[in-house]
Amino acid sequence: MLQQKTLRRLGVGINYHWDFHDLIRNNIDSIDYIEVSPDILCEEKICTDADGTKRYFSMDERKLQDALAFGKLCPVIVHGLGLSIGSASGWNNDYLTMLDQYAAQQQFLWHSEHLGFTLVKNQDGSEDHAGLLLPLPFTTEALALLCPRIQHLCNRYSVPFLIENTTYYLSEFSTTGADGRRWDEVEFLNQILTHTECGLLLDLYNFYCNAINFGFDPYAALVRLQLDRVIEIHVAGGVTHEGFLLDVHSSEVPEAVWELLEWILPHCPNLCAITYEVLEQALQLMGEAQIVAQLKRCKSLWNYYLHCTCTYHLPCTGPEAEEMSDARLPSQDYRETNHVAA
Amino acid sequence: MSLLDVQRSLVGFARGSSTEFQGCDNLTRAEYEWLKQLQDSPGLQVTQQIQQWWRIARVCASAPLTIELLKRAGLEELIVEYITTEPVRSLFFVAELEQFKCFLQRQIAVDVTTHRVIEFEVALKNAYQTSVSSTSASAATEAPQQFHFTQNPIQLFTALLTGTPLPTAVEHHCVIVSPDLPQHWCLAPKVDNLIAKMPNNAEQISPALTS
Repeated sequence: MLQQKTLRRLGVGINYHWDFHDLIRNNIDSIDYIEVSPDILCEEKICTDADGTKRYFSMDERKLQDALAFGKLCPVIVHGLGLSIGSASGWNNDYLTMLDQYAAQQQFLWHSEHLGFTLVKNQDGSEDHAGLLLPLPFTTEALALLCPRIQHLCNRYSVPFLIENTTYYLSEFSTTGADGRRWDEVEFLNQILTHTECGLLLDLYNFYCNAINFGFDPYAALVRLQLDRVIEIHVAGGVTHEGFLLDVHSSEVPEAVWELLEWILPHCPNLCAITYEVLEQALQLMGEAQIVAQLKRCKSLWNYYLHCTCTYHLPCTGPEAEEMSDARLPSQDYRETNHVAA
Repeated sequence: MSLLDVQRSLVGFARGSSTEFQGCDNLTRAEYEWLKQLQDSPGLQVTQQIQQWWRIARVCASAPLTIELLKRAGLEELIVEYITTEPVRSLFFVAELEQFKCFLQRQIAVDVTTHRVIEFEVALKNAYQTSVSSTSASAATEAPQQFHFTQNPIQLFTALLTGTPLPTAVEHHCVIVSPDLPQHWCLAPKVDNLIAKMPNNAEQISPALTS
C-alpha cells in the first residue's frame, strides 16, 4: 500500500549548541525548532592496530541531556557532520552507531549530511582525516558510490534524509553527461535527486560562496536545480580571505543571500524550514541581540513564504517507497513545469 | 578505484603533502592533470589554511598550559611542525590532544616540565570524558593517574594562565587525576606546608583547564 508522509512546516530554527542555551531559552517563542548535530555531543577515540583504524564515539551525557531538554520544548532535526558520506574507502560507520543511539532517545523529523568526504584509508590500512570537508568530483563514479548510501539513509530512520550542498575552494572535476555538457554542481545534485528519494538541504550561503569564488550567476544556476526537492534552507554569514568567501558561520547573513532567499522561496513548494547557522564563537562577536535579529529576519521571510505557497506532500521512506511510481516522486522535468525566471 | 586515489591525493594536498598523489597508480590522465594543476592553485592554499586554523584552534583550546609553556620556551615552531607534518586523524579535541602529546614526546627540545604538563592535560580531558561518558569506561581510563612535578603545580599552572613568571624553586609534588575527583584533579595528600597555605587550589584553576 502506498503511503504519504506529510512533513510539518516548521518555520525558522537555529543550530543547537550548549553555549546557545540561554539564547534559545530566552527566545523559545520565536525559535520553531532546533537543528542538532549529534557529533558535537560526543568525543572521539581512535585506535590504530594491525586491523586498521577504529573510531569510537562517546556521548557526553551532560551535553546530551541539555540537548534532550530542548527537544521537549521544540521539534528537533538532525544535521550530521561526521559521516563522510563520499569516502571511497567507506563511510564512518561509527557515526551511524552514534546516530542510532541518539535516535533511541530523541525523535527527529529528518536528518541530513554534507555532500563531501573527510576520511580516506591509506594503502597500509591506516586512516587519515582531511581536517575539513572536501568536495567530491562531479563524476559518474562518485554518483554510483553515493546513491546506494543515500538511499540507505532514506530508509534507516523512517524519516526523510536530506543531502546538503557545500562550499568548496578547489576547482571542479567533472564527468561529461550524455548531452555532451560537463556536469557542474547543480547537475550533480540533480543526478543525486533523480536517482534517490532524498530531499535537498539547500545551503544558500554555501551556494553563494561558490558563485562568488568561481564566478557564476547563482540565480541562473539555481533555476536548473530541482527546487521541488528542497526541504530545508540554510543561511549563514562568513568572511572573505585572500579573495575567497569562506563558509565559517561567523557573522550576519550577507544582503545578497537575503535577496537570494527572498527570490527562491516561492519556487520551493516543499520547503519546511529555514535554519540560521552560526558558530558558538559568534555569540561573543555578534551578541545575542544580533543573532536574534537574524532569526527574526528569517521569520519575516518565512511568513512571506507561507503567504505564497500551499499544501504539499513528500514521498514516504521505507519499503513502501519502492512501490512508488516515478510519477509520485518529484519529477525530473522541473525545468519545463516549474520554470522560474532569473 | 580512481576515486580513492583522487581522495588520497586531496587529503595529502590539504596538509601540504604531494607524496600520496605521487604514489597513486589508478588515476586517469584527466584526474592526474586536474590534481596537478590544483597543487599551485589559490583554492588549495585556502583549503590548507582553513584546515590549519581549525587544528590550531583545537590544540590551543585543549592544551592551553602546554601551548603557553612552548611559547615561553621559544618552541612555537613545534606547533607549526605538528600541524604541517602530522596527518589529521580526527576533528575531535581528545583525539587531537592525544596525537599532540605523542608528537611532543618525540621532540628532544621539549623539557620534562612540558612533557609532564601535556600528560596532565591529556589525563584531565580523559578524566572529564570518562566522568560524563554514556558508555562504560575501560579500567585504564577509570584508574587514578599520578604525575610528578618538580615545581609547585599550583604556582606553575597559575603562572601559565595569568602570564606571570614561572616558579623557579625546585619542589617535588604529585598531582592525581581521576574521573572520581570533584574537579578531576588534586594535589596528592602529601603536600608541604607551603602549598597547604596557598589560596589557590584546584577548584579555582580547573575551569580554565576544562572549558
